Amino acid sequence: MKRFRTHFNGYSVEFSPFEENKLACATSQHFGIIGNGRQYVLDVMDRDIAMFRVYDTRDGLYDCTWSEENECHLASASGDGSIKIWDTQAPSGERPIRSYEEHTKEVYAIDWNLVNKDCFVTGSWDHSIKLWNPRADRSMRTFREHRYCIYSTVWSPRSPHLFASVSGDTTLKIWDQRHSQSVNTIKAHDNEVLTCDWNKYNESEIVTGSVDKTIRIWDIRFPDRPTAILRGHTYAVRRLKCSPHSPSMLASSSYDMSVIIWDRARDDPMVAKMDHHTEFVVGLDWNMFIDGQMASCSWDEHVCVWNLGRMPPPSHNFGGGGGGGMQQPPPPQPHR
Amino acid sequence: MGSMFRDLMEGDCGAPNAVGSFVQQFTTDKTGLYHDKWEANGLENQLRNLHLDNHQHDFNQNHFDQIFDETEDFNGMIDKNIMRDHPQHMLHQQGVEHKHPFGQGELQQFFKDFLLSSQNHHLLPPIPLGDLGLSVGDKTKIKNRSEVMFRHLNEHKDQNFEFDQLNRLFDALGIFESEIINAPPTGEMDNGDWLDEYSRFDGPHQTSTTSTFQRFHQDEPWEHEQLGIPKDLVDEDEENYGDAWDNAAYEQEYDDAWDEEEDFNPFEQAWRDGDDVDAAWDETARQKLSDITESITRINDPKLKNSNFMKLMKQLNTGEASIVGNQVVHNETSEDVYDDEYDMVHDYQAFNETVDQDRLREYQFLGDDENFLLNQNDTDGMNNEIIDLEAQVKNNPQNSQAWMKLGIAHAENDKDQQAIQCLLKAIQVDNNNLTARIALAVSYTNDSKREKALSTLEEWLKSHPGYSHIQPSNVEHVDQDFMDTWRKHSMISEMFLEAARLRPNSPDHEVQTALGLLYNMSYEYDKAVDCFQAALQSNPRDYQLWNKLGATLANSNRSQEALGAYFHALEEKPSYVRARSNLGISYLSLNMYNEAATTFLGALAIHPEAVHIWDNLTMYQW
Repeated sequence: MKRFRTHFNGYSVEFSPFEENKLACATSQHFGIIGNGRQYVLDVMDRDIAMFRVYDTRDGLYDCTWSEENECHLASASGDGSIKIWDTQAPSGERPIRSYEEHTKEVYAIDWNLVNKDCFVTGSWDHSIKLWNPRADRSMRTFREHRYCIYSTVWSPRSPHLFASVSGDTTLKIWDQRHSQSVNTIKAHDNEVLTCDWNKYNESEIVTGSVDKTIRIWDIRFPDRPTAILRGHTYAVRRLKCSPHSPSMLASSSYDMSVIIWDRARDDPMVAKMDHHTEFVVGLDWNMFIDGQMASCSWDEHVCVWNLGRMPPPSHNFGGGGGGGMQQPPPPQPHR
Repeated sequence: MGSMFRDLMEGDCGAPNAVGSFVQQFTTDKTGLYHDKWEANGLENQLRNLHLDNHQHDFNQNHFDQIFDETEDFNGMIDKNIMRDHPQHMLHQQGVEHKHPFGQGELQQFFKDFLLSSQNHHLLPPIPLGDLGLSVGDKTKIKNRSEVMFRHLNEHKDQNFEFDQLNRLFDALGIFESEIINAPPTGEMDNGDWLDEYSRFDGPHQTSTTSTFQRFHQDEPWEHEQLGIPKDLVDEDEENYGDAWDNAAYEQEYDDAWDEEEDFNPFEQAWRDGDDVDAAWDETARQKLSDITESITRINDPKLKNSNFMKLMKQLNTGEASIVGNQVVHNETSEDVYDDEYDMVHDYQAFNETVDQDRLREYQFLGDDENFLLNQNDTDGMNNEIIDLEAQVKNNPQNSQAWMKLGIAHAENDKDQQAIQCLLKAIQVDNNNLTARIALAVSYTNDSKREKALSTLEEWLKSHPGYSHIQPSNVEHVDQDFMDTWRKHSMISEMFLEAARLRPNSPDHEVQTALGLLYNMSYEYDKAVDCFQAALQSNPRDYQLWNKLGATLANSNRSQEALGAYFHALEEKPSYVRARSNLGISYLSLNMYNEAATTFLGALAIHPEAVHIWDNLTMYQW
């Protein structure tokens, strides 16, 4: 496993959609509670990871996304409500080529449209989602429906217009960027929902992860109940990424300091539970170009890159991990 | 044994040291808190000056950005060539400089302590870090972000713990509610609902987005084509209003579910209907006021009924009087309800006293309830015990022991409210009933009345002949402060530790029980476990102690061990409802659902009125 020390607490890692060895990592000082931010661009080498660029910001950075249309551009979401766009051709220490200041609170999520490659969405603690075109001076649209902080906004891998958002108001919302009202609202968990992702092979499937420790798989055509529940984390699920190479595989990272690789085609869906980090694991990504290569970043100030290698053959079922089962209730307080 | 005491004492003085040096660094070096050192010399000095300049005001972002923009030599400072060609070399330099900038490692450690203790349900030690020179903006950020993060770490919405833990953090960093800008914290769920309603139904936000967009569109029509923005996007907003109203029905359904607790909000209604908003405000205020006063007017106490306070409450309730600003305004028909302010205060005091006495008087005898008696059957041992005890206290209301036993029986039945009433009565009758005081402190703790539990423990120590000589070490008291309860908590903990030190070889189980309770209050469950175990050494058959040990273990996520403790308790007393219901809760957290259901049903069989047990059972949907 290759490691890189970031010195700040890692919040998000993203492989470049253009170059197989480029990796972006958004970091924050002091766990993002107060302090500066730093956007890293890294080169994943044969034996180790080298720094390619580093850009500093006044406030912490919570998320980042690569431009889908310009291989040199990278956008980060900042705690001061701003969105920065960087040109990685500029040397380290350079200022962003754009800075948008419209959100009134922390911007926690940013994602570039995979199909309509000239726009991206951001989700903020000010309860709003904004749609941006990097050539415009202002946001193109604002979506307000969530009742609490928005923690994740993710575009559909197929449709140019659809994106999903999850919030501390416990819901998952599906949006069509052409409409200011959400297309669908799913009461996804009993606790705050911190992360979501679209299945890259099934445009009606979305996975959500929550403070309630579970991962839920949703067919958005049937919003009344999840199609499966994955259990295995012992604290909040913070980041979910569906595999770009398999319709049944996904990875999750959690405040329990672990990364879990799931394969829902197996009887026991938990393929591996990895504990290479020593603090909350907040960022996670699959490399689109190299099957099985993954990256994670953590509050332990390290970015890790590893290759999954050959999957162990599906085992026979003894315990039965995912799917159905009873919902974990909040345990009542015992009395003395 | 010895190790236990070492634990207790070291725990109290070990932690602060981690931060002590950090405080010193901060107080001697008044530099910016988080301006990272890597900017080397020039910029960092500018930042430092800037920070000092802006010390009094909010952080001036424009000014800062300006500096950031205009620092020409900033780029020069970083040797671009080195950076580009030897990134690892630069990294190494950074690594070195990172080592001791302004004690950042310690601040990092402090936040880490906060996060980990929040996750583990431990309370952050109360350490004031001194003046860190944080601006109001910084404090607001820290406050909002730590609130949001705290909630991510706590699946179970334990509001007491949230309040205590966050206030510990704010207190240490010198963050006070009064100076925080944007009073509404990010944290509050309902927060911003007004804004949401406003934007959804009145549409100003969309309007502004539209206008922004149109401005952009009109000013630079050529660029619009270039941008490849779909044409339909431009006029979309107008059309969307139609959609919005169509969708509103569905949306409203969800909103209603969200707002379920708020029954009726005339203000919101007015926004939607376009009614007079001011009138709606009044209506909202009146609605609130009558909600509050309604319950008071229902108090059926002859003394209170005739008081001016009560008259005023009734007038406020019916709308004859209203509150404008800080003044009571009487509407036409109403007469003057009170002569001067003294009366008001006086009546309020009287009201308070009455309520307290009510608590004593209003104990409802189970045996007086006909329905209850009808539903009784002979096998119901638990309730027979209570009825026997009730008969005893009715015979002789001055029997403190009987009141106490009755109270304890209620507590064992998981009914702390009734227990408190009986135990207060027991103490009222016999001020020296020490066992009743301990039991009262337990019930207060269960009832989340920490302040009262602390006072009760203090009184216990003062009226105990063996310990009455122990004086509080630190009498200093600051009123009206969140930390006041904690100062009291640590003062009383100190006194009990002192009491425990008097008998190091044969621990007094009541002192140990009290210490266990105190540590439970401060979420220091490991220490509490030690105390209860010490108490059990001399009283191995005390089923209540076994239950307390179990509850403490369960609270610190040691449910598996808790099972054993509850089994001990139930071995001694099979009809112990509280232990049985606690056992069920532990099964729940161990995902042993069948066992949990069986246990809860068992508890219900013993004690059918314990309706709250049903809540535990019905929590399962799918």
